[in-house]
Amino acid sequence: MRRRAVGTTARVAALVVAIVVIAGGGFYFFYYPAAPSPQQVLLTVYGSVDTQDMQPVLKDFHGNYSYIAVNYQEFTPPKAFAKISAELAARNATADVTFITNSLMNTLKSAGDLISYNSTQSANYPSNYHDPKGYFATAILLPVVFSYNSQLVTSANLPKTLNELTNSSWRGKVIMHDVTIGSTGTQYMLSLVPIVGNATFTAWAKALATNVQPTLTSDTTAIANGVASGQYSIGIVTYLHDVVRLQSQGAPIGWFLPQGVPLLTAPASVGIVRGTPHLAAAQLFEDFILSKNTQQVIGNTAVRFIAYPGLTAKYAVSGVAPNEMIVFFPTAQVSAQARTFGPIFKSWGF
Amino acid sequence: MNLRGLPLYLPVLLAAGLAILPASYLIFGSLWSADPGLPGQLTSQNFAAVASDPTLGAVLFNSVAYSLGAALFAAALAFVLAIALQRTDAPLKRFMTSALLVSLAIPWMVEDIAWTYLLSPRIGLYNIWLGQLFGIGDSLLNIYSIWGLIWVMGLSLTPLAYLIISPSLSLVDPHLEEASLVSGARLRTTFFRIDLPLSLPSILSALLLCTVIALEAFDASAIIGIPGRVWTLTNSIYGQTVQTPPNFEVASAYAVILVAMTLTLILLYSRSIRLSQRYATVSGRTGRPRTFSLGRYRWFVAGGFITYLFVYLVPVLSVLVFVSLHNFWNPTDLPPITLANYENLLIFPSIDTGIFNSAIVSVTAAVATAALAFFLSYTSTRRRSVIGRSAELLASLPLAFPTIVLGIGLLWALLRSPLPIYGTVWALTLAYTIRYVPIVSRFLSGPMVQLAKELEEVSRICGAGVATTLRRIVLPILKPSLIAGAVYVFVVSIKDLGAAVMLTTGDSALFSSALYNLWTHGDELVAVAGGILYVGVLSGALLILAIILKIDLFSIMSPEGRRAKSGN
Repeated sequence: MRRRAVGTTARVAALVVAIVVIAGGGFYFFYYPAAPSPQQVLLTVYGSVDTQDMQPVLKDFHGNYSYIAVNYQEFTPPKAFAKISAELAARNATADVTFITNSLMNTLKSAGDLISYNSTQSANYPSNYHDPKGYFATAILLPVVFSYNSQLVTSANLPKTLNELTNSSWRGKVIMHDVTIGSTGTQYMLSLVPIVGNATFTAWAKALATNVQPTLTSDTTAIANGVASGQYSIGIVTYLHDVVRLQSQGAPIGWFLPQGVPLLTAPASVGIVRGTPHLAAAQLFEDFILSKNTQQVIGNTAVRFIAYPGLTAKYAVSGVAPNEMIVFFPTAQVSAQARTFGPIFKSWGF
Repeated sequence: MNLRGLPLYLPVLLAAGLAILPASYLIFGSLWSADPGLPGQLTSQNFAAVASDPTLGAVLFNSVAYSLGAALFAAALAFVLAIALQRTDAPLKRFMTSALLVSLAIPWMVEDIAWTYLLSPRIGLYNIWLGQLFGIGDSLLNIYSIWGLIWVMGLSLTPLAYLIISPSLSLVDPHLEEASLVSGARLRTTFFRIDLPLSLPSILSALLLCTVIALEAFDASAIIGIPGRVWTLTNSIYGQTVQTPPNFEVASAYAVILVAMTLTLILLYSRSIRLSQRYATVSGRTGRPRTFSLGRYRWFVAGGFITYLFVYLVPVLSVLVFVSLHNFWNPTDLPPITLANYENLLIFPSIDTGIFNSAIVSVTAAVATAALAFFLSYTSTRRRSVIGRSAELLASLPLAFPTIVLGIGLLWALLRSPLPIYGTVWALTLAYTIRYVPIVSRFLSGPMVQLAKELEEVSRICGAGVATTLRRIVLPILKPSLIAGAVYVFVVSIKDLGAAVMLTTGDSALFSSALYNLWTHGDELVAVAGGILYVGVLSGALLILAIILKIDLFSIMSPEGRRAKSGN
């Protein structure tokens, strides 16, 4: 009996050990892979910066953080904004990070769609380069200029003033960003109001619509492409980086600013989308984009203008447009006015 | 109602329920004061905003003029082609039929992009060549106009119009023509007094169907209409959704107007189909209608075929290849040849995701649509009950829903429902299933009516239940029509842009929406390279399908081939 009892105890012990091993193994098998494994983080970024321009940055980021793969999805800013808002409303967010212009960042912030994060790198930037509460931080500058086709327009024929652009000889030869949709074009035009005065602006804009009838497009790059192709002689609201890129490829395109018009520049910022399951990775991405080394990489990529102040790079605004005064746009007031002004521009004939 | 057949009605009720979902949410969205998913209240402000739009008159006029113009152009060209191919002894007929078949495989978006490089003012290759040839400047033709839209859409619709019109010309009862000729009428008189009147119903059907399709189509309205400020209902809907911030509620109000217009046209189309039955001339007596001898004009007509090919198909495909080999486009100062656009295509994650997702969506939508349409068609022809008829009527609602409208309706529905599929490919599968169930059920209705009831009765007498009868009797007989319906859904859903622009997100991008995104984001030449890939992928998929399903693609365009297939 005694020997049998010991045997029973041994069998019970063996059974317990087996259960523990199986349970432990099961726990390991099921629990461990479910834990956030470094290899499994897929960070989705909805951005308006060209995918090609982002490639060196994404490659470097993956080199530094091999466990984070970035799925970069390129949209125009309004589309990125619309997709993020809709996905959050459906409680099915795809984007972890967004990288679009500040005016829409402000709208996302107001809707509570962004997470506050004070990047360690923000201290290196002037205070107007990031949201005071840390909802977004500027990483790229988008200076806006007037472009011209150098085969069709000589520098002597270039309009020197805004009024010279309203000459009917330009009819059918001008392309500009769509001022009726409340986006970059509308914001740029409204940003000219305090510069030239309300009455002068109204008269100029109406004359432009009536005499020149510019072709409108909802894509800024299409303006530079249209001018470079020779379809249009003049482009209004052209991003400087598009002009410089096409110039570097040998396209017949140049840029200018009419008298009294400063180098209005839209900041593009990085922000973290509410509800992201990859918060740590998103924060690392924001830090990385704002870091001096990455800004150096961006600044030497054809073609993006960096936000990092005082950094020497091939494509710093100070190098490409040394004599121009940078003025950030749109202001909060202009952003708010833009949507209501779309129909007004439409009624003026745009 | 026979309770034994109750399970049959479940898929039908599902189809009806799915059809009501976007329709009801679209109406709700058009009366809601805030964007989808956001709190708001019921309002009529959205319709007031549409009514106060200074361009509303132009939008309505352009929509009607463009869709009617394109349909007229397509029907006229298709009629001429059908006569030449079906009733004359012109040479190169098989060659021309192949050209029509190839043009069916080119996605409209890709075709529209190609035309912008051929007919743009100043930089369009046709404009430059015409200018150099006749010294008439370089802006003679302008694609960015209502005429440009009519031209492009008309050419895109021609193969479809041909498919509708050509049978009426090849199935004319030859005895009527013989009677006319014996009575002393000339060949021309016989054609105008006999053949043309008999073809009129099918011409009218083609005209109405093409008008509906042009009215619904988003591709040309987006790529040509938006830059040309030719506002139509579809690009106005889209325009509202890309406002900053987007205006989905006003877009929904525009969509309701579009649905009202398409609904009217579809009712007219149904009426024209019913009327066309009065013109039935295919009877028990068989025979081939007379072939008109063209004599010395034979090669003149063949020249027309070659012109069609070298003004349309060859330039459209070759300009895409040529343009895609440059870094930027300036036809007067071409940069060196490069493959950079094809290399750049590979770095866009949305391209490979899009190809994969498009395959998933199109295949699943084709299968789901065929399954639901089968039950819908079966219950509507075999089990005439109040529930069946009501469900069929409701499930037919999406016939009047352009895909862009369906996209908006589903966007509202999915953002307000607990069904967690927004942002996934299943939202797209759902959209295409809803859209195409009523169409595929019409593919099946004819064969279903022709299927003698005795076959099912014998099966039941032998002890088989409903499921066994369906599986062993009805399905095998209807298999060809089911396959045809599924292939149709596969092709139209893989080419669609309307629902795709509304419902895709980063993860659920489709190939069409990814290319349109590239096009509108300034990466035009990368989009062109993608267009070449698109044509290749679609043609490859169609060939593989044809091989697997043993379909003779050539017979699709040829009534003779169709007759031979059906054994008539």
